[in-house]
Amino acid sequence: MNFGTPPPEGPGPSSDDEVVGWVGLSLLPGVGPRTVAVWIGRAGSASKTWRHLPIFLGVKAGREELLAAWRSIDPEAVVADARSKGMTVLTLGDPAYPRALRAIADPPPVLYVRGVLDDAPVVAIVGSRRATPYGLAAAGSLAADLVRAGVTVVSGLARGIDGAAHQAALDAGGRTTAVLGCGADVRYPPEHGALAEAIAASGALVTEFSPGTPPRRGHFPRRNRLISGLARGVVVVEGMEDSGALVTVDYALDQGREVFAVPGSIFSRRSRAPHELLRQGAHVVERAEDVLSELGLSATRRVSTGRTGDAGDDAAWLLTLLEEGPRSSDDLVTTSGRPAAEVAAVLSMLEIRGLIQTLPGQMVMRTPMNRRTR
Amino acid sequence: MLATILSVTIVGLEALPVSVEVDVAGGLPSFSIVGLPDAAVQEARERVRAAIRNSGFEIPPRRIVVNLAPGDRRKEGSALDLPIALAVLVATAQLPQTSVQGYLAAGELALDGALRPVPGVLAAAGAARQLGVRGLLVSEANAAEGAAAEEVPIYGLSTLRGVVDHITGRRPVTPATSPVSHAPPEAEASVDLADVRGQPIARRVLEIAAAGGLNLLLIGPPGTGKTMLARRLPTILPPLSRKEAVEVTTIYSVAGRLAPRSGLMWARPFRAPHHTASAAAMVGGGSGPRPGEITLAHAGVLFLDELLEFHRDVLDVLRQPLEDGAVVIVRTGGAIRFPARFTLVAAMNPCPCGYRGDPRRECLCTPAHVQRYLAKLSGPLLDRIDLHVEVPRPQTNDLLAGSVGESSQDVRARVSAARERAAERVADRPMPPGTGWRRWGPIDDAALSFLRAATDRLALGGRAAERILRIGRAIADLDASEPTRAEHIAEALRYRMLDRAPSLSS
Repeated sequence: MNFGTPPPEGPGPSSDDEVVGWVGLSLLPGVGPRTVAVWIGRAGSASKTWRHLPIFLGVKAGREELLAAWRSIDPEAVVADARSKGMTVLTLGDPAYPRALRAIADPPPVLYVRGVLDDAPVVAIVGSRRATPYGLAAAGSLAADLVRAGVTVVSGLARGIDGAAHQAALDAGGRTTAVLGCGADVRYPPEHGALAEAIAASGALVTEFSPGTPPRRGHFPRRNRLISGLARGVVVVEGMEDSGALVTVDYALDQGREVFAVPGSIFSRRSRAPHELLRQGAHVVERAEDVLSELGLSATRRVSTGRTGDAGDDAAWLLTLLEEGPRSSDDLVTTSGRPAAEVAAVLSMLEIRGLIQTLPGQMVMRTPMNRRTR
Repeated sequence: MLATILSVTIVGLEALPVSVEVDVAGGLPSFSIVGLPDAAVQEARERVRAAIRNSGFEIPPRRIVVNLAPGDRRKEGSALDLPIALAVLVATAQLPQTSVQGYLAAGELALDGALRPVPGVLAAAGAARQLGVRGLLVSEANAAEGAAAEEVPIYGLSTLRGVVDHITGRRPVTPATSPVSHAPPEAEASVDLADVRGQPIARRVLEIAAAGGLNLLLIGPPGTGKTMLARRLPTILPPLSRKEAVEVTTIYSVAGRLAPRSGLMWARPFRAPHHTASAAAMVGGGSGPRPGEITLAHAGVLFLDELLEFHRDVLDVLRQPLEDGAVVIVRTGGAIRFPARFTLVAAMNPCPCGYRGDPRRECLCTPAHVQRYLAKLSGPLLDRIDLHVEVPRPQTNDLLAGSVGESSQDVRARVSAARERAAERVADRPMPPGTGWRRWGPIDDAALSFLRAATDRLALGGRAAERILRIGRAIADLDASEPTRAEHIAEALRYRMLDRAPSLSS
């Protein structure tokens, strides 16, 4: 694997000067991570590079604009701002910088982190923002089982699949990392404000954008490279032909990550992306073990499967009927041959006990073990 | 010379007695009508003049004044043609006053003297007894309707000449008899619940709605049979009582919607106004108010398809009738009360595109779209809807090979039994208003604790809990159970889909 020009790794947490240098360099418009790496390689440190930037610029085009930017950027203020908002500023020079990410071709020079990045194995779960109930359930159930096996689940905090994966990971008491396409202090998407806070409290919010940066269209593909970059494997749950999840997959392949796909309904356009990936050789995911074994991880705690036991009474027949997936109440009546009144009453009892969930279209689904609240 | 004959004008659903007085005197030839006639009554002059002439009588060139008493109430419609013509004949000495004495006449005249049917004959027949009338003179097309009241003899005649021949005894006719016996005709409905294949949950909900007299909202993609289900609700409701049948027939008669020569209506009405209907079309209106859709649905079913397409103000006017079982229309002439005790069945798509939850078609609505769409529903009307259930697309094999469900007749038997039990219970112990959980009848402790757990878990409001108790009671009555039990409450909970709307948009 090509690690590119290896950036220098300092002996300990880099000094504030260094951090300021890195931040300044990361804020230069039109200067990418690779250029920064080359400059620092020559200067020996980020702070020196930043201070003597005009030397490195040479006579290349855009020199004047860069110099103007260099004069106007105040990286110290940015760092102070980030820290005052509870963020950690992680630079490529910092040993705490995530290893997996450091290994990609263009790691972001600076990461702003709310919460703590640990070194547990990471799996990304990504998919459609407008997901079907099935997709949400699949993402949630996989995320929960993965965190139970000691994996950190990373995703993009978007609506739909992303949100379901984060939420399920949190609900299962696990760790999850959200990679943002805006500043870590910007609430986006707005309805995930509470979710973001919860993630920051027990996992991490990560972004390469400085505080206050608004979400922009162009930010999200860049963010996707961090999602795959942080992870050892990427699981695609749902997506249409042009889904952003496919961008993440492209990065994952460039970065040498494993790609997994969860099969969907053949009637749904949201199955196009995962099915296309499967066609191209992605690994099929039916349960978390499929991901864990492929990545050489073992489930630290066995995930239970046959779980009719806790229904315990005359409702077990109904749970058995739901073993193969969601069914409509009508279907349950027809298949069981029991009166509609009885089926409805039993469904209600099971729902109150949290053993099943009702989805749109009168569909009933068993609650995955780990999502149960009581 | 002066002549008097009795007739009626319809106010609301009631027949108001009108005394038709005609005076013929010397002076410039004229024909005038006084006593607050409306335009249709004014035009009676022309019809009466021509009908008299073309029936072989004559109108002498004198001053004819028609007075309609009481003089301070508006008279409407063409039913006064016949009494005016008869009074003119008496006043011009072509008929003896004694011949019209004691008769009540109501009918429209054609220019050739033919007698045409008019609205409200059943109401007129109902009023006739109190007026001490010996017979009702109406068009033969109205005779069956009048006879259905079984109050006074009804004479159905087809021309003005025929009326004269009858009252003068030259060619008397026999009173019409009610064409239909007391018992409602069985199995004449053209639709049956057996037509519905599969969809056991929807059928069950229909049965509960019928047993409890509960309002129902069906939510489902286009083409899943919501209209088909709604149409079959009247067929499983208990048969109309005679009193209800008279009420319904009177409403249709007054609205001019009764087929000629028909007697009492025994089928429960089913009304499905289009969503462009105005508020006036819905509750009734006009200067002499006519019954609207909700009154035409009295004792039957009012079906609102595409509920959210109805104008907001139209839905708003439904609230009070849903509560009171009647609508009061206030006009300068006074307030008119129309009965409107109907079962509301509404239908709507689950989302703007209609395919949410459909396994075969993809819904492209964003959660925000769906939320905004469902938000339109909220409010006082939704509070008055007891049951809301989803009607998913039936499985294809249910449609093709699926077992034929029970017939309307079988279901109706259970519904009637449940309603009788409910009536007995209420008679035994009248419902004390506002006494909390037990207001809807006896309920056991397990049911109450289950309800508490459910309201807790699903975060239900007090109003939702109230509705669940009502539904549970209807289920218990169907089950012939004295107290409402936990399984009844549990089942009821399944039929309150919108209470858990937040989880739907998860």
